[in-house]
Amino acid sequence: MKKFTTICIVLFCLIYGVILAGGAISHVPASLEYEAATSAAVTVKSGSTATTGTSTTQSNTSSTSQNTGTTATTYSVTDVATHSSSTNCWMIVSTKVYDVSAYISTGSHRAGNSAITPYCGKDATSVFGVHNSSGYSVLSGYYIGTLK
Amino acid sequence: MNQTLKRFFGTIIVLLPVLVLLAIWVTVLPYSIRFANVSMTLLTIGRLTGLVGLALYAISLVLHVRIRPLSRIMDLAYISSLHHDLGSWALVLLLIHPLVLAISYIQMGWYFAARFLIPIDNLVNLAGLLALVVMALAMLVTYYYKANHTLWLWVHRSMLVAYFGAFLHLLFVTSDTSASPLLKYYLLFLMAAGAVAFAYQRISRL
Repeated sequence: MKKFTTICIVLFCLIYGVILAGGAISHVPASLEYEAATSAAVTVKSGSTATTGTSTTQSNTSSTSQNTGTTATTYSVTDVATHSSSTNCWMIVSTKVYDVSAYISTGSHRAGNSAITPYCGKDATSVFGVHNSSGYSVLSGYYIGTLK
Repeated sequence: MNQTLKRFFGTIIVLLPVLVLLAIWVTVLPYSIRFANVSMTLLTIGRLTGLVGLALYAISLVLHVRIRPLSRIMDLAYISSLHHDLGSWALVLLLIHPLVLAISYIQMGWYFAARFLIPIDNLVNLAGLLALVVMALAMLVTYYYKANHTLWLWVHRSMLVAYFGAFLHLLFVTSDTSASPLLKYYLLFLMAAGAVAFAYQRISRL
């Protein structure tokens, strides 16, 4: 066990070094690529009161400044439940309502769209808890209101 | 009951908390999400190794105290060897934990994988990484440096610093533990048991 653990520590250092070296020599501006990938999805939502699929998914309720989130529109659980398809997908996370249809259309979720669609029209608070702060940051771009 | 059978049952009892942990863990997220693709599978493996490694770390700490009911089942030499083996396995799993998570980031770009391993802007991950470094160094010293027993003892005890770092990491990290309060509090309970065992042993020696 002593030798095995020591070998594991050495391997850990080697792989750690390889990844750091890979990050150092990677000349692709990955940060920009990632920020673009995450914020592009956010921008699609936040700047599109009259374009893409977002407007179609907000037809049954009043929608004043929904995309900016400055005036919180309230929705009932029943309202949210009517948006339960992948092209018209609302979900509840911590009593806030999000329209993630545009995000689904980008197909940028790490686990694929199939990780999101089962929660369309439902409360996804418990499952969403696995995300880190950047996950919440992306989600905030899809905020449309709060739960009644 | 012969000695081998006693040891077998003893090992099962000792590992029971890990089995409970796994039972809770499987209920947190559906398999379709956990193993949706290579990246998610790596993420799942990375998270799981962290959880099991931490549980083994806590159990190993509990085992360093002489627990009477357990010593009736297994001889002290075997309990001591279990303490060492579980501690070593805990370290191995905890070493795998950040590496597999970093590898899962490679598909986004090497930059992100590297940034994950240098978490200067993420105190929670930094606490976990520092804890791992302290644990690995302390383990190496306890393996290979036995010339000065007092120093050896202090270095071995420094693993408690690593334990505290791991505790902070567990408390604040967003992962399966943040999605499932049951999983989080169960692991915190195991860690508290380890800390109480350590404190008990220190006090009983005063």
